[in-house]
Amino acid sequence: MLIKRLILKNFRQYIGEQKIDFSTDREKNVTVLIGVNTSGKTTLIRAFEWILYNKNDFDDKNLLNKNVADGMQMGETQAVRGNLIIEHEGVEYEIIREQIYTCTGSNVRPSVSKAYINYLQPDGQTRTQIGSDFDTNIERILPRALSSYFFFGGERVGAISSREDIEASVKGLMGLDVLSNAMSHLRTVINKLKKSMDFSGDENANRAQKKLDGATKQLQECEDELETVSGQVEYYQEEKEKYAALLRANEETAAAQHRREQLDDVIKNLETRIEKDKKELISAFSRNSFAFFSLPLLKSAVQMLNEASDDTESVPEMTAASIDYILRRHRCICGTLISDGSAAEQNLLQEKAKQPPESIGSLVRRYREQAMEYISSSDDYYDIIEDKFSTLRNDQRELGFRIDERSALDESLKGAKDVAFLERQYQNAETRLKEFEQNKTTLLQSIGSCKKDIANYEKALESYGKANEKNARIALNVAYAQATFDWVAEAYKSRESSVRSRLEKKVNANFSRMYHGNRTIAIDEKYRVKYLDVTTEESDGLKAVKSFAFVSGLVDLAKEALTSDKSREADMGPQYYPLVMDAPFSNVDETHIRNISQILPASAEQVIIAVMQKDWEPASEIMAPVVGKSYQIEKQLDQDGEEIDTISYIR
Amino acid sequence: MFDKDMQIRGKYATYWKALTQLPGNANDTSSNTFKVFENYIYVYMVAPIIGLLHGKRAQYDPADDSKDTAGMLAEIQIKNAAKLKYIYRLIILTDDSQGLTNEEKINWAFREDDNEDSVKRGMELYTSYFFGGLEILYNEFVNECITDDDYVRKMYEIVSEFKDEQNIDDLTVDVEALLRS
Repeated sequence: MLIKRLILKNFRQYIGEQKIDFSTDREKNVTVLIGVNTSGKTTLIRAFEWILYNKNDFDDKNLLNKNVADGMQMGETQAVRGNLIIEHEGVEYEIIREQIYTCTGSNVRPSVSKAYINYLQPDGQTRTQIGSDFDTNIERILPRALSSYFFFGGERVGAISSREDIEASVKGLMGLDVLSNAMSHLRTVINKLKKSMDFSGDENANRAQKKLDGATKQLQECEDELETVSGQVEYYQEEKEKYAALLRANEETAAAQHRREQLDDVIKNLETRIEKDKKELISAFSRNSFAFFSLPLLKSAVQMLNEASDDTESVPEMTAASIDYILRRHRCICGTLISDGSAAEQNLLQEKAKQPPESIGSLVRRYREQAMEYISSSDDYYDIIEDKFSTLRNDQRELGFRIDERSALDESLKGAKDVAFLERQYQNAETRLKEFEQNKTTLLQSIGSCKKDIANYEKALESYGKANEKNARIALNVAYAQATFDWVAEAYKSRESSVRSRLEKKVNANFSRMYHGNRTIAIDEKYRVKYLDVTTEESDGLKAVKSFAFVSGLVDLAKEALTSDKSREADMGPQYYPLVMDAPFSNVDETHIRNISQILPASAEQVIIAVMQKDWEPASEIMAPVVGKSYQIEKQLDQDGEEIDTISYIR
Repeated sequence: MFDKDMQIRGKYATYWKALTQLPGNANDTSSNTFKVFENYIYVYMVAPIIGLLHGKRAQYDPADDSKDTAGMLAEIQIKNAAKLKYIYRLIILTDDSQGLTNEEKINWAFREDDNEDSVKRGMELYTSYFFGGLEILYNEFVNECITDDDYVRKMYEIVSEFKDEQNIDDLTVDVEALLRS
């Protein structure tokens, strides 16, 4: 498909009738539309979508030029129209869409839009309107599902390669949908034929038929469930890989986080220990402090006592009161009777004089004994204090080191991923994956046994069927249909895998030429584009580059899709698609713009770019030789030279 | 002596609290949190010695309008009576503030335990040095230390400076020799 010309009438800011002829030159296949912001670049792209698919993505749904609408009289009508002239498979078509707006006084109301297609007769003069359904014909020329790959805006570029519905679109583009439609049609035919067999009167056949129906139903259920479970398996497989990659990338962080947890414990223990050290120091300081500090005093006290010593021999622990008691009872503890004035009494009175208060000898002796005891108890007072003090100091120093270490880790872990969370996610994915894989195995076993049952019942039915002439004919038809189905299925399968591997090759080739980093991409079975090395961060710019690689690979492949296999008759001609892009380079840096500019015109049959001047500059260095047509989109200026937002001209 | 409940009041009560770890339910009127002694009794035993070493006696200050009080039960003193009496005698023997001869000091320390008046005077002397010691310890610790670390360092300093100044190792040997003679 080639886009030859676009004519717009009163479409949004394109007032009056305005026309763009696009370059259809095979060599100079680029048309550039350069315009400032809000001049109407996006509107142009959307005009294509409106004409082809009646798609209206504007916030303000009114398509009629505002200045025209404002000038309408009551009852007056104005048309918004778009003519798109394209060439498809050698035939020129004119696609026209028109919407009539009527002024009702306070409002301007649109009618339902009308669209039709003319084609140019081989004489090159006569245009004939195609009578059949408009949408069906458009689907044939450019399927709507694929349109987003060929008409796209900068903000949508990045999303293309990760879209979920991409599979159906790619299959459509590569002609695979034709085969897959054929397969599902044949399946219906086979089922219908089988159902039309008449087994009335044959009880055994009826029983087999019932069992077959049951087994078929069960098979269908299992297959449906298998699809769900496979989706889950795939999802958790990806989750597992993603978190494994994240964990690998965060191994150092994990070690650091582990060390930090250890340090938290160490610090807590040290803090407790320091509190204990303080307690012990206080305790050591308190006990025996009096003995330690009293040493100098004690020296002078003992000297004094020594000088004044009237140290006399005395019975230890004897007191004056004890002797008085013995004197009063007139009998000694040895049994001797003590009479007044006796020698024994005299001895006792002498002994009493040695006791306090008359004599302080024994008191002083006791005092000295006490002093001796306290000195020895305070002997190691200083050593203990010093020991407790240095233990405390060491623990404090150690705490300081550990706190510093933890602060350094805190600093280095700022903004780091929570590895424990990643680990949990990984474990969860792994557990779920195992569960679903187990489910899948069970389902596959059930499916296998269903299929075996079905084959058995079918065989039985076949043998019953042969007994009846009509049934025998149906059985033959079923066999034909089945053979056709197998043939298509085989073609589909080989085509499908070849399409994917060729697409992957193309996309990778383009990607490696566009992207100045070092990455490889893969296309999965759902035609989503992925990096082989799992990564976590992807800039918008990289996403855009990836999508450009994908789209250019896609159009590239479509061109040669079914012409390369020379051994077979081509069942689909080469498909040529234009790329129509709005502000495609907005997220992409200049190096990438240059790389992309190299590839797009070479891949696509026709490239139409609406772009801002600044983004065009790096691209034009590369594309200039292949630019066939170039336009400026300019806003109308008012009498003060200010730009009018609602009127633009293409020049 | 040392066999009745005792209580002191005013700023000395606050000083005593500031130097002592108090039981959880006690009303701590001091502003510091780090306490260098485990119990009141340890302060009561060492403070008079510190006071005496510095020749520092103190009395209640009539201008002190603090209503703070602190005290000890009789049983604590009875339990520590031997040590307290030992310190009491040591103070009487080594105090020079009363202008007494050695003989008079020895008599007061050892002969007059039953003399109420002597004991009263002895306890007054003890208490005055206790207050003096409280003031010194309070100044050294609470007035000079802010952080726990300050307190800890001060504790060690006081002990090790005293050891060096007094040449404690030799002094111990000397005193032991004197005691044995």
